[in-house]
Amino acid sequence: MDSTVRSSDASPDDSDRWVTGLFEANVGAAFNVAYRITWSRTDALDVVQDAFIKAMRRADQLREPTKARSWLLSITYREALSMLRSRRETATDPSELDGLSGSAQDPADVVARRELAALIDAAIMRLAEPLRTAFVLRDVEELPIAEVAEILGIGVSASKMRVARAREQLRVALEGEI
Amino acid sequence: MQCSELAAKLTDFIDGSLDPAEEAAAIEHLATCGECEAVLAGTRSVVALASEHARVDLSGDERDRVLSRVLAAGREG
Repeated sequence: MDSTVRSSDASPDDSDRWVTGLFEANVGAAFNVAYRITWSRTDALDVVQDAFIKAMRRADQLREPTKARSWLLSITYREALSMLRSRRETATDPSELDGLSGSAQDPADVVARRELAALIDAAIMRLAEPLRTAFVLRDVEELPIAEVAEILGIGVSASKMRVARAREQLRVALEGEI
Repeated sequence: MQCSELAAKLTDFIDGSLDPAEEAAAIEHLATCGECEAVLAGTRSVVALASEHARVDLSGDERDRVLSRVLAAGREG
């Protein structure tokens, strides 16, 4: 069975294969979106889990299999916003910076990369959510701007504007640091 | 092209989505405007650093745990 398509009469095994394929292909991007909105690793994991469960239960609503990623990420985006609204304050555990990527082996290089990652992290955190999410989708996940627009449920021009404002604010924030 | 026009089109310029005439005009302006050139370089650095350093990954355990919960929820219906 094509991992991007699930019919309404799919068997449990087909359903497992379908959602596993969707998960393997998109969990990284979904986690990044959820984490950058909730700013909590624990909440982001809950958001991702709930998003995939909703996707699985709404699989019949996915009309265009080629748009599975943007469909899943739009569900994740709404779940993350919902989590944010239901929470009074955001968690910012500094130890969560350990989750930042980095594959360098030289200890000095690891430290330098972590310092740089922490600088970028702090600057991204200061962006307003609409700008932050657009930036993460476009420049961290490197999605086409049309797909960013689809996920956010806004127009391409508005998406470009958000990305432009985010880049500009980050450039100013990181001036002299990078 | 003026500085304000380039600023408005900077995202498209960086993303390579300007039409050829606009792109040529932007390049021509950048060749003579140090300020815009500095803004472009800084913005390109932000974009490059974001893709290299701003990704947050799940651990293997986290991936396995979330997937197994999703699959269990699917079997429960």
